[in-house]
Amino acid sequence: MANVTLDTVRKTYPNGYQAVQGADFQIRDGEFIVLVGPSGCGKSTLLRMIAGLEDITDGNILIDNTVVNDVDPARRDIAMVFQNYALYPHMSVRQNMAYGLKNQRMPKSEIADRIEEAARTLRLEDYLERKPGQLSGGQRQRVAMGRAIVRHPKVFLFDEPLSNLDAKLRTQLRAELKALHKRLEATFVYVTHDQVEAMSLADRIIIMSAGQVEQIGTPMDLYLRPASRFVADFIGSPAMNIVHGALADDQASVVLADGSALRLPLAVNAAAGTKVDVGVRPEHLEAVAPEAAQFQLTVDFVEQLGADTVVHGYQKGVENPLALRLTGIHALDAGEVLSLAASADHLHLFDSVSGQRLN
Amino acid sequence: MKRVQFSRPLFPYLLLVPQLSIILIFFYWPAAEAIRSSFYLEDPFGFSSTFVGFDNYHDAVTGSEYGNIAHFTLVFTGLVAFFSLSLALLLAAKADAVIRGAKSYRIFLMWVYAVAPPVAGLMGILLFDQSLGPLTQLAEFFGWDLRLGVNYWDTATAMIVISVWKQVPINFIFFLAGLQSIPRSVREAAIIDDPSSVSRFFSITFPLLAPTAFFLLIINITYALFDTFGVIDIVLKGEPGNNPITLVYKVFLDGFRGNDLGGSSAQSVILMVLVLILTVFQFRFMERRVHYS
Repeated sequence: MANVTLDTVRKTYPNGYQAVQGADFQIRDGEFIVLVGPSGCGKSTLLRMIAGLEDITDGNILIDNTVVNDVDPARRDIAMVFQNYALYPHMSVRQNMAYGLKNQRMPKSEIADRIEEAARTLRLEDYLERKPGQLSGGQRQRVAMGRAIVRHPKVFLFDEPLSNLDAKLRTQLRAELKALHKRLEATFVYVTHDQVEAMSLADRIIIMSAGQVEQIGTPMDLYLRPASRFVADFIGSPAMNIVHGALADDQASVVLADGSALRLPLAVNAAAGTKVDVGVRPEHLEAVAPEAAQFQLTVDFVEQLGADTVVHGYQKGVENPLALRLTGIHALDAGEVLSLAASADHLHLFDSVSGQRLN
Repeated sequence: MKRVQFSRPLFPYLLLVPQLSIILIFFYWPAAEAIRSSFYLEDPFGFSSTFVGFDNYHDAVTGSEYGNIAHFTLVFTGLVAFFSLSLALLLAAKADAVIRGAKSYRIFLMWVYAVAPPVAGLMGILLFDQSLGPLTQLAEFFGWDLRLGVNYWDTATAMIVISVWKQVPINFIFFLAGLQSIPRSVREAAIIDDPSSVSRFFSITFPLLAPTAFFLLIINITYALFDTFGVIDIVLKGEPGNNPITLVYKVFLDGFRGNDLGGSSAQSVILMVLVLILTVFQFRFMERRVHYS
């Protein structure tokens, strides 16, 4: 168990492509960190650099306060779980788990003990003599986790471990992973592109975009106070409504494309006339009297999900679509107009150009 | 399996005709002809033949030089297969690790495959030429007076070197393809599990290459037994003298130089049976140990 520190870590490929541009953060001992972002944002590269599978162009990586830049992956005391399991197809489950330990010259009795312990934890006792080809996807992923657990590593690295599984199995294994983390109390670094996985697993989320860290924080930090429009858009489903406009002269309202003024019950730290994006989550909009409305939503179509209803629509004269999430079942007709507003702490204001938060 | 129904029942057989006729004309017919003539003694002008039973087989096997030639063939086949497989594997493993300029390396290593065996033999002779050959000069540098076509061992060495050189590229292509079909993540998992690249090669890479290696082993043994004929013929210039020859070359010598069609047929039937046994043995006993994913 250990902390992991990234000190201005950069990765530039020989063709000049900058995969990671200055990652700078510390992962605390025993923390469950999720690296999340769209594909190509550099999250996997970052994980592979921690593992040592990818060279670091610049900066330092420290595991347990020791610089490991030039340490062989096998000697970093880490374990990695891959997206496509990466099991050795010619070895039985037992041999798969034993391989890394044998190479550490661990005594046979201890190897057997560790495999037994991992097999019990992951309910793999009955499959130890099977080859990976005889296992289902979920079982293979358990073996891959077992291969990591037996090493008792300082840091566990997961590279999209659940994305090859079907939705139901994914939910089940997600819960198992969370329980596993609780029991092992080890440092987990987990890469995913799925924001639901990130929100449900992480102690802290590191959200990345185009090789840069956008925000680091607890899932609720990211949900309630996204630092940029990118984070606001990425976290939450359905995605946050974003409406373009410009700050009015009184700096207390935003003029939208249709000429209407959206009152801002909050202080804004920008000059009048600044182009801004107003963000509000579909679940934070409430029906209000027409004179108190911030938005006039014309219903386009309705998604009935049972537990809640998602209304998709638009405001006349404004190009951005709007969504509204209502708890329970509601019958609404297309063309109906709803007057909606959100409270001050649920309104997010971003600079149109830089995408940075303004309030 | 799904059964496909053809409206005209003879149609599928018609589709098989080209393939079957090639096998029949070029394999079964000559094989049957060889078996038939191995029981006859034919007069040199081909006017008459006498049934002699197993006499041809008896004469072939008890002939004074047969044992020596069989022994040489065995050693030759073993060495050619071993060196062409291991050199190709070494080159493929190294080429696979190359990132910069990988394509030119691969083309450079593959092009020899396009050379026909007799041409390879000719080039080999030039390399081993008594006065000009760079390999002869290299041997001389190390104090080895290499005499192609004069010294039995020197000729054997040249035959093996040329045969291996000719076979390495095709093995290289297969090994490289096999190496590249090993998933990157499996190799990376091994990198994390095992710090030694040599140990990784033998415990992960090589077992995953086993199906390729097994296939190539059969191909290489067949190559060394039969397809090296062109190389040997060119090296010996058709005049073996007291130089080493393989069993296949002896079949040719006895049949077409010695005009002993019956004896030569008997020898080729013996070879056919040997290959049959070898193939059955390989598939029964070796394939079991091979992991097919």
